[in-house]
Amino acid sequence: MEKAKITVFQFYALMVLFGLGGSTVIGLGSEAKQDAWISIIIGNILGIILFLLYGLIIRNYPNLTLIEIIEKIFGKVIGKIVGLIYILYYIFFGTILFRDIIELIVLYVLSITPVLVIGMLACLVITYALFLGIENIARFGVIIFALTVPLKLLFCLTVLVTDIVHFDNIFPLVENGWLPILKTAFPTIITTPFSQLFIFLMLIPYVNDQEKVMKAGILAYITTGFILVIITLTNIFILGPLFIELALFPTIQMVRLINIYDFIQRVEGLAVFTFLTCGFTKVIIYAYTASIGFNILVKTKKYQLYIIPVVFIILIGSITYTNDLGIHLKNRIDFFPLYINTPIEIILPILFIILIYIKKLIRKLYSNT
Amino acid sequence: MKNKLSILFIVLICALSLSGCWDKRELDEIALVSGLAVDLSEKGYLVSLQVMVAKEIASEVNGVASSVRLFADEGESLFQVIRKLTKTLPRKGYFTHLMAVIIHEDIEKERLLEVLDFLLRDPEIRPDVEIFIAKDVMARDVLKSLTHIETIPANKIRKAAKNTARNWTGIRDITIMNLVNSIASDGVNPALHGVTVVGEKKLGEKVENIQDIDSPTLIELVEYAVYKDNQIVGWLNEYESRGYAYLVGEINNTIITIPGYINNTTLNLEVTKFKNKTEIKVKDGKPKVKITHKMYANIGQTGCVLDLCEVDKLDEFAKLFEKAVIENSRYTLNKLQKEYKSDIIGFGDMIHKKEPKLWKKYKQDWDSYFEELEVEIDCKIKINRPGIVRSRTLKEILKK
Repeated sequence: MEKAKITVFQFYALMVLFGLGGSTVIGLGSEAKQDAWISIIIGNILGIILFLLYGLIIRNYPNLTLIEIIEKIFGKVIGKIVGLIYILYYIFFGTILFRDIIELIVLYVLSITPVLVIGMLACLVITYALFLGIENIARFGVIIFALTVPLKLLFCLTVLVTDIVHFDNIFPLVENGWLPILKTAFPTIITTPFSQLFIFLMLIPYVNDQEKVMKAGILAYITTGFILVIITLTNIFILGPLFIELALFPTIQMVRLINIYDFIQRVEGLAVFTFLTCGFTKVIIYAYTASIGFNILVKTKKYQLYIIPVVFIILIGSITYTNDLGIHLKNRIDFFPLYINTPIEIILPILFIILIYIKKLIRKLYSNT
Repeated sequence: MKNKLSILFIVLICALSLSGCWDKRELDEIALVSGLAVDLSEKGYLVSLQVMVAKEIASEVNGVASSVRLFADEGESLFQVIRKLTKTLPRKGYFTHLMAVIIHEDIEKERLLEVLDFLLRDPEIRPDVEIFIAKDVMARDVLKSLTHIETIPANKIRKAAKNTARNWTGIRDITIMNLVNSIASDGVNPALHGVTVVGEKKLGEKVENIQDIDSPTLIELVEYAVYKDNQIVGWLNEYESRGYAYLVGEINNTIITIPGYINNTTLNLEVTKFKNKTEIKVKDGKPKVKITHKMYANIGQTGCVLDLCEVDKLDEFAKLFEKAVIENSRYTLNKLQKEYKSDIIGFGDMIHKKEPKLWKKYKQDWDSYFEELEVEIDCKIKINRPGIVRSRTLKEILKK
């Protein structure tokens, strides 16, 4: 494990950036139409409950990363296999997210540049960040947090004062009953982004003030949820539920409509920048956790050994994964949340907790007899 | 030393690769497209691009050469023709600054959707580009006429639409996004701004058109094209458009005139604030709409025969205007319900938003229910000021 410390605020900033990373670009819960914001609130509350459950795991094994905890729970052999599953999952989602980011760059910024070149350059930067270690990543995170989060809120605010706002777009509330809303909340929204934050169990040992970690985490959940609800509501007010379903990146389309007296306009470059930086922070965290995960699993001294393989897999995987954007989008809504996110981020952690308490109980019975 | 050299090497690599020069498009390599016109032709589409000539727009001496150029060609699809135009256009078209799309009135149904599909799909085109329908002329003729004050014709059309929306008929401009939303929604049909060319079309192409004080050719906005099933079912005239604006409630500032009041004089009211209150009532399982127009207004111009200082007189005036407004709205509504049978006002959407359960029953076949929809129209006008004269004195002076 790397000998490094990050502050509680840096931890909080990283969590918020991670939560906002992919979701603000793609737009959340368009299947729930004008009730998407209700789904997000429900997802957020469920996410916080899950995070409190994760807290139970940390309480029993303080100062250990997730991979170490798993080894403690399952023993050497099974522990390593489960740990490997987690590491592969980090790499996999890093890959998917990297693909989204590249897609955004190709569409709005660099349309002629080959995808591989964009990916390689981005990977160069990511690799450099990973070599510097978590302290530098955290400091970078704070700067990006201070730059992008206020900007995102500002975008929403500037659109809301123009005359293209239709506040009545959120009506009718709960048009088709609660079922579609709950279906969107689980599994789509609760997994992306809220339960994805399970990854931070790998980073919690680095935080200098362990007592405040849970508080910072819950605050990060609330902040993420708040910003997502505001962005989703703005999208609904401006674009309407139909157009949101139609658009590949609804938030960008919303920002493109900002036009205040023909003076402040065409700010989507700035918007793309905020989305890219949040997204890259997320990819960096995925790649970093995968690298230190391997390091812990194989018990080598330096995690830097694994950086280049991990980044290489992410780069090649993101390009070769699929050419069909339709399949990619469908997977993201129908397949990943239910078949990958849910077992790894919700079912397995709950299993860990049950195992931890069963072990405790057995130990207690042993010591009594 | 070795270390320093390697850092220099890395910096050089970054400087060369991270600057994004692969995609560089300098201003002298792109043709900024300001307007796009789509007509039907024998081969499929006749597409015209209006390209801005930066040199002429920036030059201090205006009116020597035209500030825009038109490039047109025919082909099977919109995108195909745009690319085919490179045969005559020395630079590649750049669409992010597109201001207006002019579509010919004959482009209907699938063809309209095809055009719209291109506008939505291309990442360079913004969703707030405005759409106009060319009436009686070809769409390319509209983009062919030179204009003054705003030297880029596409910009002129857009700004004129904004200006007339703010100060005359009302109703916001229809953008790509609005059009898609209204086509996709069951509860409302689109109505699009029409545009036409007045005068001699041939003369409009020449620079002389903008050198004269009284231009022989002008681009003029006409009223609305009413769509049903993505097909034009008719046009609203000026009076009907006014009624449409009342019903939709999108008026900022306008003038209401009652002709022939006393001794062939007119009464004019300047509306400064307009708001609609819409209520949906359910009666015997059927929706019933009640619209109340609420206006604040000033007296704009009168036949100078009345003493306006008396308070009850202002109320009497207000009554007259209320009646006129209700009559106007009712006339338009009748035309839409009986003749065009198309709900461009969006009553369906209102019912959808306020009575979602009831809407499910009507959703499938809203247009036929719309014909029999019961609508109650009411109007309340409050006159604030009679202008900046003392009416009593003005009357006495003018009588002498």
